[in-house]
Amino acid sequence: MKALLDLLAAHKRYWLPPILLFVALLLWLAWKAGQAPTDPFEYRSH
Amino acid sequence: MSGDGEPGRQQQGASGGAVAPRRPSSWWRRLLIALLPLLVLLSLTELLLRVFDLGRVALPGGAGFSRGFDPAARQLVADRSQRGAWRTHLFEGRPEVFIPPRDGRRRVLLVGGSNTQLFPEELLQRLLDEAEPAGWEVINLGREGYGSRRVLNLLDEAMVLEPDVVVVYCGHNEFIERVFEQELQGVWGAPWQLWLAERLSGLRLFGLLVDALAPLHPPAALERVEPEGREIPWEETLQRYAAYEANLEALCRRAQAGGAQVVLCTLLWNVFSPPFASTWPEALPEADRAAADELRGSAQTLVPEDCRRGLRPPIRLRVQDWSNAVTARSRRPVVRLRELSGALAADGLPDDPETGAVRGALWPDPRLWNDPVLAVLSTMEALVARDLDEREQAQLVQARRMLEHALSYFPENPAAHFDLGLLCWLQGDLPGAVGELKSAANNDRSPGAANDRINAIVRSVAARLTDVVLLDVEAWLAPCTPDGLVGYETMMDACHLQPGVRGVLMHRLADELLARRGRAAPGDGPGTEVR
Repeated sequence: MKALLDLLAAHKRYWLPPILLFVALLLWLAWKAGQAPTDPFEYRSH
Repeated sequence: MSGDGEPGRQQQGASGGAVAPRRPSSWWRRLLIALLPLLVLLSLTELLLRVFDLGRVALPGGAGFSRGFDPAARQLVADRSQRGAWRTHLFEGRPEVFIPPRDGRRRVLLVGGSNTQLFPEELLQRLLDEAEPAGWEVINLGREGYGSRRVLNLLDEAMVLEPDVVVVYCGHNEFIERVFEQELQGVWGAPWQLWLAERLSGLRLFGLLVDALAPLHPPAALERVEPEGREIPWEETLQRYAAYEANLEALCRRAQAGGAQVVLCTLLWNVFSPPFASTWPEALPEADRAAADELRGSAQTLVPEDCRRGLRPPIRLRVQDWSNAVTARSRRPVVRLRELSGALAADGLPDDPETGAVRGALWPDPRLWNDPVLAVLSTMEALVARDLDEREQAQLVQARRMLEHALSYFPENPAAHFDLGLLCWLQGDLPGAVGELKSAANNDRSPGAANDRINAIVRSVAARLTDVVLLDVEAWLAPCTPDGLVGYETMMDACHLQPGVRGVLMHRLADELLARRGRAAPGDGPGTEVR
């Protein structure tokens, strides 16, 4: 386990950016998803 | 692990202390090191969220983030409660349609927009059961707002249900769907973002984030604001009709490829619903536009107000307006419109709990109508009564000249044709009214309902393809209204059938299905027409 952690720590400049980028992408898309209308104007309740 | 690229092995510096790790030598090792932790972390997170049943995407609801525009959006999902069962994923938290496992009954799928969604499929089921007990199964996959593009995507998925018959009543939403798609694109920006979101929608982590961010979004506007994008040039309108034709044909072919009989319906539409967009031709000078507008405006003021209120400017009714009065009235308001005949003759009909139509009419209980409905219907009453004095009639003559002049600037102007149609109607020039009102609808740049062009496409597709049954609803029901001018007696708004009409249509559909049972297998011969 320690060896694995050492390995990850040693190479974090490879794996950390993809994780951060992926999380940022998810957050950004999730924000947009919440803004999108669900139905055409004609069928909205308000 | 060993070798030059061995991760983790520390290079020894001159002092013997640890220095920077050796770089992985090959690109694929670097890629592995870059992506493996992400995939492992993601898998663990997904596993945990699923174990605790967290992160189901609740906010975007049915038909995925693309709202059904992306063929990858799942609109039907296997139902875990029963092997072979399915349920829809279409209705934003409202009850979904449960589809039981396939049995020996002939399966009928109804597909289309909100009209189809409102079809009383229980009535159709009952009528078929009465004729052939346990012989038929009716499934309604109508979804409000769906035009041919999304109906095609839905049907593509729904062929897994192995239908025997597919009934298509679709064509009112072609331009509504276009505006909605543009609105979605406006929110998402570049198409790849929506494409990617649709494909990430299976992740519970994504659902969790969508829900977590939801409270941060600004509250929905309380006022209805007309979306932009209705005013389009005529060339774009024609492109949309062409897309509809292609989609409709693809729909029929897809159903037939799955072994289903297709019943294609023409659509009934309200000629008294004003056109939605009258985009000026680009070449028309600004001064001419202003002159034509002024003539139209002046002509409108010459029409008695009780004959144009709610039409000019238009009140756009919605289906719920017919049943959401703030306080139910104790007595039914009496509205006198035109007498219908033939299949739509409502005289003597009792209240119909199966469709919701009230006694003696095709519409729902008038005690529940809201004020916009009463406003529009009182105008229609005035139009039907044509109770004009001599001065008002003289004003109509003057207004007619103005409108004809306005049309000389832009001969296809839908708004001017509509105004002229009402004038002709008030003057008792019924052939003129038919021509002008239909011209208004057929030249609408962004129609919110079907029209002659849409129905001509339906007929043409049915004639072109073999083994497609054409149920010409318009040719059958429009003549039941005086002069063939379908209005609010039959329609709730521009495109929605009154409840009683839906019931009449279900009776006809049941007759057709029963008459064709066991016949017209694909490859038997040319398409047939039913009027």
